[in-house]
Amino acid sequence: MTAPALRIESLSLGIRGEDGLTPILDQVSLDVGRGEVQGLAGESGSGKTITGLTVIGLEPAKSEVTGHIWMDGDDLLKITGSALNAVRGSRVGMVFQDPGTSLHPQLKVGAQLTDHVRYHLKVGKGEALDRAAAALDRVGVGGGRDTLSRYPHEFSGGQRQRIAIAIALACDPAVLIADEPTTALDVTVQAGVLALIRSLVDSLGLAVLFITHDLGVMSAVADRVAIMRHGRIVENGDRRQVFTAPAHAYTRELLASLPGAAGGLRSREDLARIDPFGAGEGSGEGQGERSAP
Amino acid sequence: MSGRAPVIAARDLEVTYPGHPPVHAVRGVSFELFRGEVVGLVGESGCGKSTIAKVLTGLVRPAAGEVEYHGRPVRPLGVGRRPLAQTGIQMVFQDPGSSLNPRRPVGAQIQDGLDLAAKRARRSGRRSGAGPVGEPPADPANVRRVIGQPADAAVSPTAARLLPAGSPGRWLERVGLEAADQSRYPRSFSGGQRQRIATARALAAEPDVLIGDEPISALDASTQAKVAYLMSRLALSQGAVLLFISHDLSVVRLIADRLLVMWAGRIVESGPTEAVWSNPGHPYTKVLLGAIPAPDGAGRLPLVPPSAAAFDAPPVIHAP
Amino acid sequence: MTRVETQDRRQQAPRRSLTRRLWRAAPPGLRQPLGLVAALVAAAWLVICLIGPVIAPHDPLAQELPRFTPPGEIAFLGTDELGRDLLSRILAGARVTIGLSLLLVCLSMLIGSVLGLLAGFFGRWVDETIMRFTDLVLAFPTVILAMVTAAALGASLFNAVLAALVVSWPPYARVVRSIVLGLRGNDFVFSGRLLGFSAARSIRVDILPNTLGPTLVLASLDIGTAALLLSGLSFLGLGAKPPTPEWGSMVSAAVSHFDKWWLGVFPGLAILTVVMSFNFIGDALRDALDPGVERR
Repeated sequence: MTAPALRIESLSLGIRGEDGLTPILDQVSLDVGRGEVQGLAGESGSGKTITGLTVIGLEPAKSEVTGHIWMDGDDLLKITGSALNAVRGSRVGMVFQDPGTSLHPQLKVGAQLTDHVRYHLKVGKGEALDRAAAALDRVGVGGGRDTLSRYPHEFSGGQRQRIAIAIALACDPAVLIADEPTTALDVTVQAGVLALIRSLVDSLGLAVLFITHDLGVMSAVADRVAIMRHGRIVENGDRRQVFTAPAHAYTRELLASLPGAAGGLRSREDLARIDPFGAGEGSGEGQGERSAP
Repeated sequence: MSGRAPVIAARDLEVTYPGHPPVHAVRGVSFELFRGEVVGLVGESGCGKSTIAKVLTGLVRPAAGEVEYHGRPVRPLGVGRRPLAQTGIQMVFQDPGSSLNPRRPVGAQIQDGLDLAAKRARRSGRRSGAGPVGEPPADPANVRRVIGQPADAAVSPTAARLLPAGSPGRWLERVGLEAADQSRYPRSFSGGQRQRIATARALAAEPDVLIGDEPISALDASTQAKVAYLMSRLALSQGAVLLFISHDLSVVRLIADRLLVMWAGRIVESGPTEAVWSNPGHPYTKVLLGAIPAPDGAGRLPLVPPSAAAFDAPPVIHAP
Repeated sequence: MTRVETQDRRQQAPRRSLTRRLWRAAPPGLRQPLGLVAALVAAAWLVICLIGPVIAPHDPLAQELPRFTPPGEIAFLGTDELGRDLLSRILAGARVTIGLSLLLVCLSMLIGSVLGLLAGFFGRWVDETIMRFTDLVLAFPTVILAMVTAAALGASLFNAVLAALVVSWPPYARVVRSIVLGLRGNDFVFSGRLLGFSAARSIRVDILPNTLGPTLVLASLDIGTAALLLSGLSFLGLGAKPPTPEWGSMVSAAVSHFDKWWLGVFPGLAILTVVMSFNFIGDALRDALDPGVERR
């Protein structure tokens, strides 16, 4: 058995404030294998986004982190300063929720792709352009070199997210962290992006940590599903098992509140049995927004 | 539905936003909403559904066509005060972060709705609390889906504490919060709680048309169905019609009697919810339904839609 | 879940000491040493405004001490060319300089806010008219315009405030207008209109309270500028007239007695500390209201 591409081991994180240490993550452990999509699901404020950011060294200010993040025998938590830049992009790619803000609005798509490639791979301009065009091809944004000379606002939301994925994968990282990559997209556009991510995983053997609050999306794209709550992983298992025979009460509670899930809301009659006042409203104070930072 | 007058009706609405080129957001939309029904208006971003909400309330002036409310045209809102007769149309907005004034206690904001209802009642010589303007008190038959109990008892388990019906505290209890919460500010509530308070504020005005413009899309998934259910239950118990606008068909279909599906500024399919859900006729509706990923653990990727040109087909209307 | 947490916090709150709670309630900027010092200095000056003449060792107008006494035993900060006690004059002058600065800032804020609210809320020709007029005033160099106005009105403290007012309201109008433009698109403002709010009620309830924070920040930053402007006008002989103890005119009088350093340095220091402390408080307020994103 080969080692996973990314192993998060007992990751705990607290933010130092005036009231002492506020715990955010508590002993999070996850393995992301090659050619596998590991889903990480949870409500807003559960810590799923911070988990992803910590892997690429972008944890919040004043954080105190313990544990290990293993990649090819290196502990990413021990890498600091400019060495982190080599990790971001060339070893771990990251895709964020909103392609409208994750791309630089004033730079041509080509520049954003080639700068990145030239910085990490130290190749010439010509080779960088070739790579950039190939990367766009791979994500299904056609037009080749012509596309490279256009600005992000000339593309639709779905295409922008594909471009963001192209940038994240341009230097052939082994691991991709996708944080709500389809949440800002329409469902019909989301379908295409999910299919793209799945096909990249299958063809490139990419290891993907897929973070989302949307269990429908999770069910479509993930191989393994981890459910997170209050900074802790309450359940992690095979997709089918988590969705059809959830082991943890919280997972069951989540599924019960969803339309179309096993034991969830399938008809109007099912609504009558839920408590509309939200005993299960998993978020804390002022934390209801999905896009909370 | 035939034989009854609609509470509110859109007649051949067209809306154009200025720009280069101008954006034709709504291209000829007509529909009628009847007392005591929940109608879902679904579609994806840019299809014009939010513009419809703004036209119905008078916040946006249509380029052509008009909105009729109890048979009279709705005047677009200028800088002046909204005509009292039109305040029976209320709305709950999308963003829980800005749907309430951050610098006022929530009780005071609900009181605005109550004041409006009282003012309208005085004008028409009725007692407040009797029901929406121009209509008899809520007809028990319309409360059919409030699971067979009188409206209040069904809505809040703490209702027995008997605050005056027209008080902010009472309204907070109806939406599952506590009367004591009325002195707190919006920032101390979660997104779902804020949307429930916004619902209470709108309903305290005793509207007979409540419009929800994506009121749940910014909420956590486990909260969405709850808030949608609460909105529909409370609106129905007041005898109001609820127009629930959303991009998320899977939740809407649970609460709506009828669906209107919008694409590119037009209604492409309409009919009873079950008919549209189980037997979609328009190519766009088929794609929209096929693209919803089900949380069933089957690992099925949603269908990738064909190009938009395939959606140019005549609208499909299911018989009621 | 949520409610339990809130109640816990309510129960805990009284257990903390009062100073601890005050400390936590203060804007973060004031919790830094520099901010704290600034706040203390500003508070001290405000106290002096109230009780200055009472604690002054001499009558600020009485010419009863030897002329040009250097700081020392006879007079703590020395005396001026007419034998008046400098310390007493500075203490008494605080009321004039700081009091008038506060008055000026309040009036600017009032005029600017009203115009900004009208322009932002009503838009169209109201906005065009008000903002073009604002631009017109802003197009002139501030100090020159104030000087010309003050000269035209005649030299008096009241006229100096009027002249300063002419040039100091436009920034408020601009800031308030842009805040209102942003607020106007907020859902709660629409909700209010749908609930039948008149324009006046919408402004009073939904718009105005949400413009106050940023406007107060601007105002606290402006108190220093206002003090400088008023002192400057007095320095030029366009403001306070003798024998009124005003810091700017005291510095002005000191110019003709270069070798008597204390005449200019102490009133100058008074102006400096007032300007700086209010600036620091303004910065702290701004940081508190608009916390920047801290990232590694």
